[in-house]
Amino acid sequence: MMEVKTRPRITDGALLVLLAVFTAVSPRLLPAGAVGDRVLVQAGGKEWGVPLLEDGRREVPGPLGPAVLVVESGSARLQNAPCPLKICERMGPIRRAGEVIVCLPNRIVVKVPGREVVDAVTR
Amino acid sequence: MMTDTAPGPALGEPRLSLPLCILLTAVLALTGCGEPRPYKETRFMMGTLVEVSVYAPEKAAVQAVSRAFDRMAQLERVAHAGHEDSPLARLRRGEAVVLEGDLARILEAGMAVARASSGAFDPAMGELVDLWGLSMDRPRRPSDGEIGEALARKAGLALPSGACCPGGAPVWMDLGGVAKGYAVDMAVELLVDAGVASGVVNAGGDLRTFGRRPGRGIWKIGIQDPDSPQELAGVLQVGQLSVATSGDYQRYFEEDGVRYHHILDPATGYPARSGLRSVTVLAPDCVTADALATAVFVLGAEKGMKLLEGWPGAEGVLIKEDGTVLLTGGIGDGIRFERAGKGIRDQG
Repeated sequence: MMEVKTRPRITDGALLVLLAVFTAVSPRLLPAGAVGDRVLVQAGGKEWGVPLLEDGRREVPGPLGPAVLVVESGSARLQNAPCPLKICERMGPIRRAGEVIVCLPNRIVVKVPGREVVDAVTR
Repeated sequence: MMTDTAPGPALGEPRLSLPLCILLTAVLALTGCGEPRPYKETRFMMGTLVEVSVYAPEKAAVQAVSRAFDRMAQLERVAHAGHEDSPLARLRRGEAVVLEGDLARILEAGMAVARASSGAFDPAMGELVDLWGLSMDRPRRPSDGEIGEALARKAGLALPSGACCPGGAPVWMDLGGVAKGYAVDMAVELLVDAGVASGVVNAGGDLRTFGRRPGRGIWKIGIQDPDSPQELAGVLQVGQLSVATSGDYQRYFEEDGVRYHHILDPATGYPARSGLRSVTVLAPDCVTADALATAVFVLGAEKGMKLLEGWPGAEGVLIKEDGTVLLTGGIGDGIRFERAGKGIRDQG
């Protein structure tokens, strides 16, 4: 049976270090809805990651033409989308786990990976 | 000889301090460590992004989910007028079509809501939907004359009934308000038959849960905040149920400073202006939830609430233009709703 003591011990330190490493290297274990450090982009049958920690602009290809993924201050949004209703431009910016931008006509999905607050969203 | 009489643990027993125990427990709880993760797959189909999320061993999940997507793709070919050989496209050309199987069941579900809502949901809106171009992503504001003529033709339409539509005059049906819901139902049926214990099928917001959600038993379904696309207006906690939402905030275009959204009022041919921004309907099956959400949005708060209260097994969360929320009587009785959006508040 495990004995619980109130005074810190050396083994505690080792466990704390392990815990810190475990949490740092495993983004999957972030709390639900936590601010993410990257987005996953799906377009043209491929998927790739884009870090949210470096500001920048990248073209994302789509059947209607390229859209621009803008990363700014830790969040991402789509800009200059060639689709007619521009729904995808209105969906951003995103930065927390589970948030997603979808461009249906141009077949682009941008999502912050990680544990989501809810199982699904109705919209 | 001095001996240490203080009691100590036997060699090899782990020892943790109380603060570390608390920290460990908190971290594990916050990170959700140990919570099972679903197998997820998404595809573009039926004019939306469909996500199937299941709790099952990966090999079985991959096979079952693939078959569920195949079934939905088959239904898309049947119930979408964009496919040249689909029964709907043939009806639009005035050809004779035998209505049976899936198409008959989709139409039957739509007509049931059409009758109960006095036509606020109308499967014969095909010509008007095309005229506004919103379903084809070619939006335009039709002239009043065009809308009047299309309404007159719609009034003269004899919707197919029974098993056979003999052909003759073109019939412009649009099953966009029910076909997605039906496809979700059929996908869930297939997954359950394949032995998948639990999951969610979500076709762009028309969704259905099945089984018990591993870890917490109930499913948490977010309702999008009409004013902020990445925020939630609230969270529903449900068991096995279907949920569908109709709102004016996602598919719209602006012309001369006027916003035109995609939910057309069958009585006027123009986007419905009922004072509602969002209607979320919960029902045992998704095809019904889908059609009811559209009907309630068109009817407005008062008549819409009456429709929901009289429909067996249906519940609703209605968000008005001023941000107030209306809940049907059954919310709170097995279904929980927590408000989350900044501008969302109780009625009164």
